Amino acid sequence: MSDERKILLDIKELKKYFPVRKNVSVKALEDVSFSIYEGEKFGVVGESGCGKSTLGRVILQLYPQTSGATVYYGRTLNQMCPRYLAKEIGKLPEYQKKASEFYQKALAVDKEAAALENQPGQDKKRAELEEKSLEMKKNASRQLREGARTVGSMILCRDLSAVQSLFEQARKESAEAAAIYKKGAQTEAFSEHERKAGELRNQAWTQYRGKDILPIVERAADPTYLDELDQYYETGINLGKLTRKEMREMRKEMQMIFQDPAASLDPRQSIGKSIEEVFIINADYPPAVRKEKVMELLEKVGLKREHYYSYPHALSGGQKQRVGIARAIALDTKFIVLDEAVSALDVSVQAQILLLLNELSAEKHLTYFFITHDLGVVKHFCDRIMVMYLGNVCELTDSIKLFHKPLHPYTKSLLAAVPRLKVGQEHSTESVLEGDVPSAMNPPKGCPFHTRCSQCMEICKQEKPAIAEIEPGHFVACHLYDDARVKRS
Amino acid sequence: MGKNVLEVKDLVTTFRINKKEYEVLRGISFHIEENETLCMVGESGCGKSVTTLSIMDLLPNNGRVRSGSIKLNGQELTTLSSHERNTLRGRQMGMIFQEPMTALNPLLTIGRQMTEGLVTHQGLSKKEAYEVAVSWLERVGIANPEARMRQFPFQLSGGLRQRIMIAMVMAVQPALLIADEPTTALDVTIQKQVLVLLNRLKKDVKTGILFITHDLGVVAEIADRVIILYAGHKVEEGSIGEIFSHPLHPYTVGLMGAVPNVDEDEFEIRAIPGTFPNITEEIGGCRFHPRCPYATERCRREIPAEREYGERHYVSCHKVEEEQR
Repeated sequence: MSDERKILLDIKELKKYFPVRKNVSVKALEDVSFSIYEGEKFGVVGESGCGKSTLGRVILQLYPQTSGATVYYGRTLNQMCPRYLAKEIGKLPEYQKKASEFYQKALAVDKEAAALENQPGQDKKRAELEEKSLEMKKNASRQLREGARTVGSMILCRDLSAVQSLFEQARKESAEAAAIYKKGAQTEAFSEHERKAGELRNQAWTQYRGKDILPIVERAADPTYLDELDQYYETGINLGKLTRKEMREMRKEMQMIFQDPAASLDPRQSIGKSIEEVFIINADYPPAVRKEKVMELLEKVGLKREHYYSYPHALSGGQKQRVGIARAIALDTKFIVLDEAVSALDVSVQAQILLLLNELSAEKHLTYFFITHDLGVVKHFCDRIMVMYLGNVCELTDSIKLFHKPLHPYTKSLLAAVPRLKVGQEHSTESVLEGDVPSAMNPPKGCPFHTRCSQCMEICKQEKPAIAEIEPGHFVACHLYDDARVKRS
Repeated sequence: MGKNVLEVKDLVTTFRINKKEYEVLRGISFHIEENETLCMVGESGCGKSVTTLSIMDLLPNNGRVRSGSIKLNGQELTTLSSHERNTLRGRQMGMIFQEPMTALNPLLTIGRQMTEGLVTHQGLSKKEAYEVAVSWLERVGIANPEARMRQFPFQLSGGLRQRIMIAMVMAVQPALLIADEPTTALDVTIQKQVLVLLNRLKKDVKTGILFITHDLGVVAEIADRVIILYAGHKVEEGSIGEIFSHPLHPYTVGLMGAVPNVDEDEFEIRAIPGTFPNITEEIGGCRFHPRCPYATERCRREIPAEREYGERHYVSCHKVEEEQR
């Protein structure tokens, strides 16, 4: 089912380290990869310190990411022309050259290692050389992957300059389109430029893909390797590479709602002014139109027009959160990060806000990234849920499925710990999960959860499990399911 | 039925704001038996915390208990001097708070803070107090208690701090334990650990527990009886089974509908319309009527009286009264 849906955000191997002092850092996110579909309500749960808030902020580039890619498909490269693109196109030959150099070095090291074969007492040195060669080969493919982000498998083409020039032309077309878009009107000229940019890219694709390939690495001739490289090709916008100014432009579409609505409002500014600021900064409406727009927004989020003149202290927590929502949807928003947006509210008000959010998402086709620790809320509000532990993804699947058939031991114990609205049974005197979350500065080796896991095996202490699709749409990172994964692939 | 540890009758607590006195608690009555957990549920501003502060005599300067009685083990508290109340606090009734970090002294070791209460309230020598403290840390499930005794609060996680708070309060074996949202700041797995601990201790120590929370899930995990407050009034009281299986007051019913239930697949979130009243707001009749879907002319005029429906199930509502007649 997921194949037909359009991906809005693709997060690949995202890492975020916060430096503490020399050589010590808090590893807030470790190789987090997942996709968010358009129009979906994507929930993230986990205990405090698991990195869920950091993830929300890194996606919006409020914290710069340490490594990895955050690709946004809300606008395509045909419509927008970020500055990094020209640089990347220019760097293509460099990637190709570097990859080839690394590979040649690796081959030389291989030769050296082969010469040492069958010589007694040299085993250790040979092993070292082999490791070095492997490292070089990894570097080579890393360079190719970087290039593939811009041109896919065409990074292997001998005639790279021709590819480059086509992409450069496409880039110029989309720059024209972006300039028109910025002025606000999506005119015919805009679509014309957009179409041309797309055409030029397609032309490059049909003319050069898989033809006259340089034997840079040993797998270059392998057609499956081409497919593999193509997977790195980004038609969306890599948010991590945007300049501050460009990211500001993107924030019109990507917004955030915070936990504490009081802290996100200026106590000395009236509600109306607080919302109006969004329009003053991002659009040039005449003041009267602006005010009317604010009034409409207030009504849309269930406040009264009179609230335009109120100050934050006169509003209840739920009403303040409505103001936060009004600000987030004021522009052409497509994606909203909600960081514990209803956690500080009382249950009756929490329900009101959830209903409002539901209504708005249906009406405006919004995509939510909903961060919470409340499993009851996430189950009934979100379409898919991702469970995080110590900066890693444990499990990701449909909401209902997660509750019916949790696979990861951490998910299981998390669900068991939720207070149930059920009576009749004895109050439990048995605990479910002992101990505390380890420090993210010094995470345990192997699986991050193994120190508290009741089903811990020997391999869990050594090797970190990779995330894998155990069943369609059900991703788990746990060694217990290693067999299931082998069977599938 | 056990012995009543705490009896509160017609408690009215007022706060002075801008030279005017406002009633925050409007005549609340309840009792707690030995070996029982009473959960007090309500939204912020309903008077939960003010009730605990009135019992502990810890109200801020602009607040006072205007009338009503509070009896601890049969002894009337409201007529005692503040010095006499001080001697009861800690010895006969202990309190744990939402954020253990603010309740622990950051400058003193856990050991200093653990033994202090034992020395002052139970007259133990320092050495005896140390041993009792260590044994209590063990009892609340803390590994290597002797090492913990030498540590400072900032070196411990939130769950550990809350366990230490519980050990500290329970070590003097008070008749009444007041827990004001003790698990709200904790993660679910840690919350479960703390709830399990409280359930176990209640059986061992024979304490009555007054547990304040807004989380109905937590109520189901820990309560024997429940009272529900709305804007300074008790709207419903009953055993946990009664409240969860036959909630009667429209507000209780609304609360149940607003909590997304983890165990159900099909669940439609239903909100209670309107907003919670401010204490300065004057509302005639039933305080809930502006948000109640069943409100009638009578609800606007008359404050509903409390009546018993079923075994020890009390509700204050005109609608329930008319239907059940």
